[in-house]
Amino acid sequence: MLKDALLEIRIENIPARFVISAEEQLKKYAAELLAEANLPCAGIEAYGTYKRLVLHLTGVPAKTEEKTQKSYGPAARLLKDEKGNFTPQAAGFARSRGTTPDKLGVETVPNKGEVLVFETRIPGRPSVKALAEIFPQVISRLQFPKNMVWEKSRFRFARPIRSLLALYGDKPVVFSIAGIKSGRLTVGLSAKGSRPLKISSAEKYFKALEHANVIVKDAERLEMLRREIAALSKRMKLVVEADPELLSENLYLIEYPVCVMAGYSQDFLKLPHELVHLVMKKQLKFFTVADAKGGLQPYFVGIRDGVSKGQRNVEEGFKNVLEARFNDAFFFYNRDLAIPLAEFKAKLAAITFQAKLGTMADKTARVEKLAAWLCGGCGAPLNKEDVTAAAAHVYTDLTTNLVKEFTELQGIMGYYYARNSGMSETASRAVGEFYWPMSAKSPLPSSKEGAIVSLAGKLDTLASDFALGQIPSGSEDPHGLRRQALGAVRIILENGFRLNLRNAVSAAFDQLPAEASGRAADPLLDFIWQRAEVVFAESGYRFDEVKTVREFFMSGGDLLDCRDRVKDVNALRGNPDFAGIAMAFKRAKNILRQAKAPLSGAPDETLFEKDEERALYGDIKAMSGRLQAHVSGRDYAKGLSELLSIKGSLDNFFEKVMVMAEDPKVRDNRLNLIKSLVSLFEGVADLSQLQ
Amino acid sequence: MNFQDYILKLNQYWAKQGCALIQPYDLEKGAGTFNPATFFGSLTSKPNSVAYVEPCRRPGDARFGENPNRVGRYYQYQVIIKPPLENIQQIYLDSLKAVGIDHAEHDIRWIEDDWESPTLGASGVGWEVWLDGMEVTQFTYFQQMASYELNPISVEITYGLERLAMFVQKKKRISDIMWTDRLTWGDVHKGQEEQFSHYNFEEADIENLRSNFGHWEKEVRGLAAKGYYLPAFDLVMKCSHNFNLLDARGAISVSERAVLIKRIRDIAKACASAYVEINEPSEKKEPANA
Repeated sequence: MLKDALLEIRIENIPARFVISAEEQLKKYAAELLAEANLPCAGIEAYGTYKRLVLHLTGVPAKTEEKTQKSYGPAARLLKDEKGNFTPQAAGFARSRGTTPDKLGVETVPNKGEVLVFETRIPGRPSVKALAEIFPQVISRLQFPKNMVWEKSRFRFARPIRSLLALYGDKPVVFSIAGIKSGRLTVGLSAKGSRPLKISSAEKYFKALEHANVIVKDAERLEMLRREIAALSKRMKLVVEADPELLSENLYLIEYPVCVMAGYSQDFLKLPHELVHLVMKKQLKFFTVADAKGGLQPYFVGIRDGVSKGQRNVEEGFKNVLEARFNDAFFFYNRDLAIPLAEFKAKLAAITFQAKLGTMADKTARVEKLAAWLCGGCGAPLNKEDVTAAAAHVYTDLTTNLVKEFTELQGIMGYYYARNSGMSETASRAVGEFYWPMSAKSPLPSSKEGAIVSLAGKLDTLASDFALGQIPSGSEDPHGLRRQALGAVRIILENGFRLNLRNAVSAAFDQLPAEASGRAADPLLDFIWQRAEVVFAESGYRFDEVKTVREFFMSGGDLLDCRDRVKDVNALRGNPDFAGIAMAFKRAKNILRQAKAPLSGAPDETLFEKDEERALYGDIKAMSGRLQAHVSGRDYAKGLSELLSIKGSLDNFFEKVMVMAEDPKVRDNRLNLIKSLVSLFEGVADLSQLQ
Repeated sequence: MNFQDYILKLNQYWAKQGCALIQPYDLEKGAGTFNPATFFGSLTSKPNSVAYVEPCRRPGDARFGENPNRVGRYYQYQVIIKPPLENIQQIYLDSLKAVGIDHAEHDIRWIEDDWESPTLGASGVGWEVWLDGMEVTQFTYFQQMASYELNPISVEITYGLERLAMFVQKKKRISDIMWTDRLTWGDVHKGQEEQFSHYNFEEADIENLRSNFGHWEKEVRGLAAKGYYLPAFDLVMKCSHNFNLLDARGAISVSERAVLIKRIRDIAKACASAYVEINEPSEKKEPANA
C-alpha cells in the first residue's frame, strides 16, 4: 500500500531569501538518500513559509525494496574435488556465509575468472524505520547563507528549530535532532496564537494547516496573493503594481495573505518618485499604486499575515509608518533644496575617498579635469558647458541630508538638486546618470555630455585602484571594477567616441596624488581590453579575431577602430587565400622572433641575391602606399585585400629563399625585408592570432 | 496606559517569567547591551534571567527636541534569558498582550536583522519586530560577546519603550507621550534634549574627550590585569560614550573611527578575559580572532 510521508521543520522566522534555496535542497537530499535506502516514491516536493520547511513524499511503499547482495569466494574449480565431493575451501566459504556448499553458485568476474558466489537477499524493511534515518540526515545537510546556535547540542541551522513533525501515513517517524524529538504536533497561524495542531496522517497535513489559516504550498499562496491584489485593483479602478520581486518577498513574510490598502496624503507625491518607491517597496515592502497610464497614485497596499480582524488598526499603523518616513524624507528634501549646491560641495572636502587618494573633493576635481580632457580627446561635438557644470557636482549629493538618510538614492538625488540649482536639463541628467550603467545591460547616460562625465568618473576610479595595487583577481572584485570597465567600454562604443584610451588612462594616472603614484597603465589598459573582448565577442566575433587588434589597442588604438578592423577580419575570413596569407604572416613573425637580430631598417636592394626577394620587395613597395591610404581612410576591408594581393610573391619567397643565409649581411637584409612586411600587416591587424 | 504603566506591566510580566529585575546601571551608555548584567551575564555558563529599564544616550541622535521621532536620550526595556526558553517568541508576543497589544488585532512581523556591536566585539542573529509596520523591539540570540563564542546562548529582547508607547497612545511626537495622567514625557525631560544637543554638537570639549579616552583606556588595562574587571568595565563604557560624543562633534575621520572602535573593542575584551579567567577558570576559553 502506498502512502505519503511528510516532514515539517518548524523554525523561528527564517529570512525570506533563505527559503527557496532550502526547498531545492530538501528535494535534492531527499532524492539522494531515498535512492541509497532503496525506497522509491512517486513524488518529492518541498514547500516553505517563514516558519516551516516542508518535505512531502507521495506514493511511498510500506517497505524499502528487497535487494540482493552477492559475496564472492574462491575459484570455481575449487567447488568439488576429483571425486565430486565439496572441497574444504568451498565448505569454509559456505560456512562463513552461514550456508551450505550446495547453495553456492558460479559466476564469471572480470580479472578473476570463474568464482564461487553466494547471493544473500536483504529483505525490505519498514519505510517508517528508513525515514527515521533519512529525515535527520536531510535536515543536517541543509546549508544556509548564515547559521546560528541556540541550544545545548550546538546544532547549526538558520534559525532555531522549534518542532519536528514527521509522519509516514498515520505512523509517526521517530527521530531526534537539535534536542528535539519528532512527533505529530505543529502549530497554526501565529496571529491566531500559534494554536497547537495534532496531525493524524501525512495525507491530512495540508488540509489541517489550511483550516488553521496556513497555506503551506508556495504556489497556492502566491496565487491567492495575486488574486487578492487583482481584486483590489479592480475595486479601486487603479493598478496595484505587483512587482514580482516584491511579491516573492511578501510571500515569505506571511502564511495566509490579507491585503491592507489605504491612501496617503497627495502632498507626498511632490517627493521625487524614486524616493517614494524606495520607501514603499524597499523599506516597508508595500506595493505602489498607479493609474492606467502608470502615474503614481497616493495609495499603498501592504500584506498582513493571516487575519482581517483589526483591519483598521493595521491600516492606520501602516499609514502612520509610511507617512512618518515620508515626512522625514520631506524634511530633509526641503532643507536640501534651500541650501546652495556649492555649500554641499564644500563638504566633500571632509569625506575621505580612500586613504592615499584624498577626499571626495579631490576626486571631484580629478573627474572635472579628466572630463575636460576627454571633451577634447573624444572627437565628438559636445556642449562643453554642460560637461563642466555636471562634472563639478557628480558627488555633491553625498553630503546632502537626504542622501545621508537614504544612501540608495545617491546619484538619483543629484539630478533633482542640480536641476533645482538652475543647471540645464542635460547637465542635471548627466549628474543623475553619473553612475550609469548600473549593470551589464542597463541603460547608458542619455546624452554625450553625460557619457563623458560618467566615463571620467570610471577612469578615475579604475586608475585610483590600480595605482594602489587593488587589482581584481579571480572572484575578488570588492569595488566592482569589472563593472566600471565594462561601463566605460560600452559608453565609448555606443557613443562613437574616438578616444586614445592609452592617453586617457595616462591622463588619469597623471593627476592622482603623489602617495598613489603606482602607475599601472598597461595592466589597466589590458583590464579594460578584457571587457572589450567580451563586448566584441557578444556582437558575434570570434575571440581569435578580436585578439588580432589587441596590440593595436594597447599602443593607443581607439575602440571603434578596433571594432572596424575586427569586423573586416571577420568578413574576409571567408576568402580562400586568407588562411594562406595568415599562415605566411605567422611564419614571418616566427622567423623574426627566432632570429632576434637587431634590425637596421629598410632592406638594401643592392644586397638582394634572388629574384623572389626583389619581386616581393617590389610588391611591398607598390602596395604600401595604397595600404596606408586605406588605413588612414579606415577602410580595412580594402587594406586587407591589398595584403592578400601579395600572397603569390610571398609564397614564392618562402619557397625559394633561405632567410637565414650564411652571409650575415644577406641574412639581416632578408630579415629587414620580412620586418617591413610584418609592419605593414600589423598596421591593420595581427593575423598571426588567428587559429 | 501611561508610560510608567508599561514599565510596571513589563516588570510584572517578566518577573513572573523568573527574571530578576535589575535596576538601570548609572553610567552613560548607547544601549542596554552595555549594562554589566548583559555584558558579563552572557559570558558565563551559568543560567541568567534578568530584566531592566535602561536609559540610553546617543548623542548624535539628539535633535534639540525638534524632531518628533528622534531624541538623544531614551529608554530601552531589556530582557536577557540564558538559556533561551523554547517558546520564547510566544512568551514575547504574550508580553505585548500584557501591555495591551493583541496579536489577533495587529500585524506583527519579524524582519531579519542580525545585530552587531563592533565596539563590544559582539554579534547575534535575530530580528526587528514590526508592529503594524513600526519597529518596536530588537530580538537577538547572542552568538559572540567580546569575541568569545558563547555557550550557552543568551536571548536578548530589547523594547523601545517610547516607540511602544507612541504606538498604543497614538502619539506622533515622543514628547507627547503620557507619562502619567498629568505629565508628558516632554514634561519629565524638559530642557534635556535642547541642552544636551548644544553640548553634544557644540560645547563638548574635544581635547578633553580625547585625553580622557586615552587615560581611561590605560587604566582599564591595569585594572583588568589585577582582576578588577568591574571598575575596568565602567571605564570602557565611559570611553564608548566619549567616542559617541566625539562622533557627534564631527571630530572623527573615517580612518580614525575604525581605530577608535578597535581600541574600545580591545579593552572590552580585556575586561571579558579577566572575568572569564576568574569566574570560569576551568573553561579555558580563548577569544576568537576578531
